[in-house]
Amino acid sequence: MIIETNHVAKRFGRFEAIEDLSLRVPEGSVFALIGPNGTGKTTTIRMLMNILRPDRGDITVLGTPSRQLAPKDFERIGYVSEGQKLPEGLTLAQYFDFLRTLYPSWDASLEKEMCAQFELPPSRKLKHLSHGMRMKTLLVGALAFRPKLLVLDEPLSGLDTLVRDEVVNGLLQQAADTTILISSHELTEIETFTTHVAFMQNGRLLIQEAIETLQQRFRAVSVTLSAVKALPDPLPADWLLPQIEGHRLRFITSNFEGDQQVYQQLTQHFGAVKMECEPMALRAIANALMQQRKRNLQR
Amino acid sequence: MVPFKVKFSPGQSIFDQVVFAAIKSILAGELKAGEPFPSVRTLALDLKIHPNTAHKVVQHLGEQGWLVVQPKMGTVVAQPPKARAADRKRVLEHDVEKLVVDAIRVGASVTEVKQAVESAFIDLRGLKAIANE
Repeated sequence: MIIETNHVAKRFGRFEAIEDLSLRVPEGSVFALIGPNGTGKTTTIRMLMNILRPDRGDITVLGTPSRQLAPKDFERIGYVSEGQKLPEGLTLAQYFDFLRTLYPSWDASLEKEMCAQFELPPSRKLKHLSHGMRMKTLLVGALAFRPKLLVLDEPLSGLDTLVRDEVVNGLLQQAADTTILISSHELTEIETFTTHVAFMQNGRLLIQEAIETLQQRFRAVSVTLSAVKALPDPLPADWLLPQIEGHRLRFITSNFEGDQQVYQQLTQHFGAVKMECEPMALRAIANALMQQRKRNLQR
Repeated sequence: MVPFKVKFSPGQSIFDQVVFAAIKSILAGELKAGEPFPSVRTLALDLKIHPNTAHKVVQHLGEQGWLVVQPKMGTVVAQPPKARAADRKRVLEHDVEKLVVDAIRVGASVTEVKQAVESAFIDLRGLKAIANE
């Protein structure tokens, strides 16, 4: 594992920001940390980067306990976050000259290539960069030393579609050689190249899994019943958000193994049925898990 | 540029969808034998997929005989591989049975299924005619 956390907790005053967080980020993955604003993604990342100290639990990053991460380790970790402090008075060229001295593995030709691709103006001062240019600059700074791990905190938020596309392309060009942890409140732009996903809600991890298996095991099932009947009691453990009204039944199965298996499960309780199992977008899976968790808490 | 379109739909693996789209466009004649196939890098950037997935796609298509590596040209589209008798049997028996079971489950009639199959055939052939012009 490139990143591993065990039962991490963090509170700010009375506010429990993170509870019992155990993350596993495998080598070579593009790992998306997804959740609504204020759910603890940035706090998590700051603990991973040793900017914040966890109250409980332990964290290892590239095999080193997070509290012992030293400048030497950060020569292999690229980190980009929205609110990053920069030496605002420097020009872009001066800033990259400075970074080059910090990283032994700095690849000047990759730096040039990316700057040209992003159309970054070398003589402009950092304080005069637009938000989009600033994010691109940070990305060049984090990629040009070819890190083993790249940690990106909301790299796409506040960017227009064109710039998002450029940033995504920049990431894709490096994705083969790097493990990428990327936090975002939405999945859309990154869904096709993400390999693993973790959903967070209110400081807790709802699920973390390889996208392939997640998409295989979730299906939205809609059923037409031949006879009106109540839901099975107890409900099958893998059913989420069941809704029944007259002859119509809808639910989400989290353990799909084929239409046949769902069909049998249904006919055992309801007799003859007609049903359809629809694959679900990740966004829909995330929503279902969040709603189910809310329902469970209300009970 | 990638000469075929992939409209990603949820719930299916990206790998399967790209492989399917590539084979479909070869069979439809949009991508002809001898034409260069996009590089891993181009596939990844154009389709916004992970380079490792793009690499797997190219490797898989090569293993299945859809692509060949030609000296100086790189990876090009091969003559469509000859179908094995076993594949033919699988499609005509197992896959059709699966289609029929699904059709019954959603309440589609034989006529509807026949029509849908025919129009899918015509669509693909139509693409071939356009591509050959």
